Amino acid sequence: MSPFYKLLIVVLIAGVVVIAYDLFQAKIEKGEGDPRIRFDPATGRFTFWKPEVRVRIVYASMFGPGEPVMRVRDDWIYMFEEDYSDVLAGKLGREVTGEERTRFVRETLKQAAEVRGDLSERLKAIESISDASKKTQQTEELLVWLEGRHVFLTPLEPMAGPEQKLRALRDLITGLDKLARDADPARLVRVAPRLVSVERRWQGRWVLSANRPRFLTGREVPDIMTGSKMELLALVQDHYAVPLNVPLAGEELSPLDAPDTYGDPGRTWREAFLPKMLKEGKYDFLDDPTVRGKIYLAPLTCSTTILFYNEVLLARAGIDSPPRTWPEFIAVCEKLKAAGITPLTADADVYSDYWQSWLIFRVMGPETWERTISGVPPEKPPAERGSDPPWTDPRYRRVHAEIRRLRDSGYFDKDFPGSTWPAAQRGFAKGSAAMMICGSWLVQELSGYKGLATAEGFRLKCFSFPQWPGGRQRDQTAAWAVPYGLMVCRQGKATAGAIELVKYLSAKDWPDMVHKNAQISCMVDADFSPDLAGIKQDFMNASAVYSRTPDIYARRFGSQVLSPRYRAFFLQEKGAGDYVSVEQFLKNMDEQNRRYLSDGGEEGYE
Amino acid sequence: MMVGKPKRLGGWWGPPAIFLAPAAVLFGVLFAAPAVSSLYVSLCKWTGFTPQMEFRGVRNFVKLSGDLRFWAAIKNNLWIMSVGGIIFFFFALLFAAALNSKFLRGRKFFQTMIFFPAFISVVGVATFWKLIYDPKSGLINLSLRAAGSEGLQWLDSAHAINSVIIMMVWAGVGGTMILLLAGMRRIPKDYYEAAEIDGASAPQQFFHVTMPMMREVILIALSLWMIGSMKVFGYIQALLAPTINDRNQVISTLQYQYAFSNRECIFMMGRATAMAVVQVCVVLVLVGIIRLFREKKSVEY
Amino acid sequence: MSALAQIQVLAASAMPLAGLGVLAYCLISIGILWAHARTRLYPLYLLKIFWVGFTLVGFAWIISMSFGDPGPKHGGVTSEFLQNPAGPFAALGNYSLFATQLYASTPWWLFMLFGLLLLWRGLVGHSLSARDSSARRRFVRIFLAASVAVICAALLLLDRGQQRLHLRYTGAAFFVAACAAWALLPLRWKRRYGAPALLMLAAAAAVPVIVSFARFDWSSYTYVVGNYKFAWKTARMGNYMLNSLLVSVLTVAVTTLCASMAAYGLTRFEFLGRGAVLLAFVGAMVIPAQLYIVPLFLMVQNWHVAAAGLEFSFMDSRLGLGLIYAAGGLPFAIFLLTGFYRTLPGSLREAAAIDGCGEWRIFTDVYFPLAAPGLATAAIFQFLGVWNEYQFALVFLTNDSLKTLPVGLYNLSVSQQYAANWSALFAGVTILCLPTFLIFVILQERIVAGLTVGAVKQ
Repeated sequence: MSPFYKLLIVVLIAGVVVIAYDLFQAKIEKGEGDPRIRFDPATGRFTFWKPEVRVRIVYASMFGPGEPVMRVRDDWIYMFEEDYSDVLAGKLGREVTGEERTRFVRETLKQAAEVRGDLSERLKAIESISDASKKTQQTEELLVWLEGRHVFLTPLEPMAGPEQKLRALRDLITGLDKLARDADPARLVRVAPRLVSVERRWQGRWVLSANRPRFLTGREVPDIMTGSKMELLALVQDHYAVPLNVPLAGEELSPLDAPDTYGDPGRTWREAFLPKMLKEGKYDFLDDPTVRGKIYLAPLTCSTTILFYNEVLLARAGIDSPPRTWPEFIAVCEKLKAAGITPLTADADVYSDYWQSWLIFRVMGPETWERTISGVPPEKPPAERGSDPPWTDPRYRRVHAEIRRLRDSGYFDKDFPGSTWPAAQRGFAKGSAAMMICGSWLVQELSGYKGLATAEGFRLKCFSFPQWPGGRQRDQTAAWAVPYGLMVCRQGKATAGAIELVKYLSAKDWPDMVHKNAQISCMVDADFSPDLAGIKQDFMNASAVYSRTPDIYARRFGSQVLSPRYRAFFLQEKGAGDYVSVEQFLKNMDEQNRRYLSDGGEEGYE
Repeated sequence: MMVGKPKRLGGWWGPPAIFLAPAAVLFGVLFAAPAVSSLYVSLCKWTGFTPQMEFRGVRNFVKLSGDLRFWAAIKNNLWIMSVGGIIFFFFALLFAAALNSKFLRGRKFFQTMIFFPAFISVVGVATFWKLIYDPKSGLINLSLRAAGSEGLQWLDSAHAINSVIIMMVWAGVGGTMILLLAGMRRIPKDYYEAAEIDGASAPQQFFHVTMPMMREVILIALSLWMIGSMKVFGYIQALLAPTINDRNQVISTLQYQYAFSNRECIFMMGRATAMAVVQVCVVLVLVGIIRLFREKKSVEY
Repeated sequence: MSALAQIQVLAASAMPLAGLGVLAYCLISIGILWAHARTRLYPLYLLKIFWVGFTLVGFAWIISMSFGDPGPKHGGVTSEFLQNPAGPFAALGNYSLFATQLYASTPWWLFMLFGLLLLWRGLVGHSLSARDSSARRRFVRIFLAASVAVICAALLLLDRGQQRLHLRYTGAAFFVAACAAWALLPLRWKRRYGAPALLMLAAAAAVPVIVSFARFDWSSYTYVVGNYKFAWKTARMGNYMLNSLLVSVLTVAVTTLCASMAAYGLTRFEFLGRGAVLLAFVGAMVIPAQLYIVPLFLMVQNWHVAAAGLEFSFMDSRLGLGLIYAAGGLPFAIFLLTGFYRTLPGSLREAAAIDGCGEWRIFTDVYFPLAAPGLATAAIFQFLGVWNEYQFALVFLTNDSLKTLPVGLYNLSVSQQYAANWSALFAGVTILCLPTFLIFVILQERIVAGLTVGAVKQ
């Protein structure tokens, strides 16, 4: 036979294999027909179920399996699937008969017997290990293995030590034995049809772009998307998002006005959020009447930009408490420099925008900046607006002169222009510099470097951005926070279920997780993270919270014109023009802003 | 140049059609059709999230011509093509000449090791070099510091493009070297002997015998390099991620930022596609220029 | 330490040493060849050697880092990479100080002894071969003598008191080592290779490096099994490798099939528009992926069938991805194969036609087998391209269990920012590169042959 035909056969076989594998992938992966066992270590109760999925919620998230921060805990998802299945079973009239129950339990126990055998062997092996870290690792692997065999231990504290987990596993074995010996095991076990499944898709930072074809085509659209206010703006603009303060079709109450079923049923869901954060879920700045007044984003956490410092280094320079005002801050930098400690560090121009936005915030107030960039009056179309105050206003000059001074006084690490993220924060953790400006997520990122403490030591503290003497009082105490949360998508197939899941997560999972990972929660019940104690007062007592930066209300202008030019200015580079001087920078920005407005603002940008 | 007479068919399409059919169908449906329809996209305003596109005529191209970042990106591409090309061909020719010489030990070993980086994934190469370029603890700066100097800022905004060139040269020189080596090996020995009799030294032999006979091959290699340097994306994106300074953008990364970036969330698909169209046109022009240099008659061996 | 751990420590320490060893060998051989009159291109040697040495050192680093401690979250103690990103190469950080201290203990009389030895050898000229001209011999002798004298003088002059003592000893040590080797090299070698100073300079420079590697604390480099297991199972690289394999095999098979037929059709027949078709195929190499990736989505959105409870959609499947890769790989494959087909003689066709074969049979029985080398090359290139491709895979495959290897690695590197298991990232890079390396080593000749034959004759 000619080799050509041989190749043809190879092609056909390969094609068939791949198609078949694709088709059955889901079935193979999940072992869809197999029963599941859940064991609650606290109560010792078993739940058996078999998936008969009627409602499939697709949850597209930035944070996935390898990441502890803001990853939705698997066990919360299982419990939600269970709870919501019960609700649905009630609605759909799907109850489990006694006959069905007994038979199912018996079959499941047969399967469980196999697992139990392997499990006790492995458990013995682990218990004989003396090395603590190895034990932790092996315990984790064992739990993962169990999940692969469809046995879930939930809820389990993620931060629980290996001893607790091992005890839970031993209890599991005891429980299975008891069931096996019992005459009528079905009465000890809860059997429920699992009608809900939550498909978690982890797509990393590119969750929006990776799902774009789904939005385009309308197929397999995720029901829930995670993201920050800026990232999810695109969804709101294209009317893909479901507002949470509008009743769904066929319902009387909007989701926010419905009771907070999973948190405190006596209050509405709206009351579970901090009011000043909930209103940041609106996108009113868009020139779109249909969007006004609707809350699209359920803000579950937020991040703010603060100044972090290494207490040890500051103490070494003789500084006891962090500065409160800008002149004090400059004085602190001088003192550190005199003591031979590098005051500030950064990764080239990453995060450098914060100096500008915070200073403008403090000196003039955030609305001033919006009035400059988007122009006034807002009712008129952009072409007829003007910047008020313009970029050439003396206050902007003051702000940028201060930034220039900061840069020129040699406060920054001399290597900083060439370092790429995350070198600077790594260096900060090693004690190479005293302070750095960053978002509050830095705490969690630095926790990975805990082993880096040098001989001098490293103690992370933070303080809010210094106040500007002579600025408006309200601006000195207001806070700036970027909300991050969940958005429900209109084209998803399980909108009602998705909203339930969002409610569930807001009550159960995120406050806890967020606190433990040093994020700032937007929920009323959550504690403020102790790592961020330095800003707690200022944040909780803030007179107002703003989330509007140019990258939200003037996204294209901000990222295409403002940010690049500012960064060139900050790094003292000749960008498109010579930005070494403040005057030239402001003049150029003024010109660009005029052009931006006369071209039609954001919409006219393309 | 062909060997053997091809069969003349006149107007009958039969056999060629059969032979070309599967490739043409696959190519046409999954490659050509989208590529051509993207020409339409480049004339529209589109966020990429809804199927609706707004036709705008040549406005995207007009805006591009006024976009300073685009011009900076083209400049970077041309810089890579020219300066990078010179360095690239310098090394490729050098190595090919070295591997062609008589006195060499471990020829196969060198060939393998120089050729190998061409086949590693772009992500792998970029991760590798990112770690090496690290200013505080990367290999290069470590060795420089060991030798006493301060160490350079390899990835800061002024020097990143040059660092990228070094990386691309390292990764790509193997393939071109093999190509050139093949061309060199085809040159009959008598030419060299004649040159030696005439008293030419090694460099002279190289320039007067080797190079002219390798013209075709060099031109092919040149066009492949030009195409590659205009299209380059993965190397820069993976090396300089997550945020690429404006001075270090090339056309493909800028286009990616406009169209897909989750950080900047600009989502201007129309303008991004227009950029890609301009990129393709530039490459076609350059390749066309190269073709002009090809001799009509091929060199007889 | 357990036996496994000990082996791991050895392997981890051997890796960078091996890399540096090759580098050192190369440096030494430059030195050797530099002075050899018969080698014409020694500057090229120098270059090549640094190049290759760098590659090896780099990979040695990656592999040895994949042995490192992954950090407390993954069963380790402290993350090795975060502590010390350069790994064993950090030992080079204070090289000059270290080398100075190492050599500072060389006693002065050793220096004198070997200096005299060199002087004697150099002046007598046993080193030079009979074939070298007498002028050259004289030159070498004088050069050696002069250099000995100059170095001695310089060192003595520069040595002003106790503070400068180390300077003398360092320079002395280098020179001593050079002389010793020179004196001790067998005559036969000296005839073929010259330049003792360079030779031993390289060796003397390498000695502190080797010692610093030996003194490095390798005890935390015992996590290779854990790291690769993490990368394979938890980060699912094993799964991704299977996916990559499936997609690659499918793509390669389809591309080879279609391209072989198309290239044959384009070279064997003359028909209207042939040039245009060829130009269309080859010109498509110019088009970047991002130009057509989104229109492609729009187009394949409706391609899904549902039957008997199974749903198959073109977009989120490996079959779809494979066919898309095949379409993208056709231009290059056809480019390669048309060149190749043109080298095949046309006389076979006449012979086969006389035997009574139709067009199709001529192709399958005569030309296709002949084209096997070219096809193999095209297949290899296509395989390597698909194996490494990550842009399309990143966007087309959203289901985590369908992802391919480069996407997996990319996800791993992104997630490392949070989970900080750098050692697993290095393990992942190694896993990605290893198959291509193996294929490359085994099939290198084929690749080279295919490239050269196809591309040159255009």
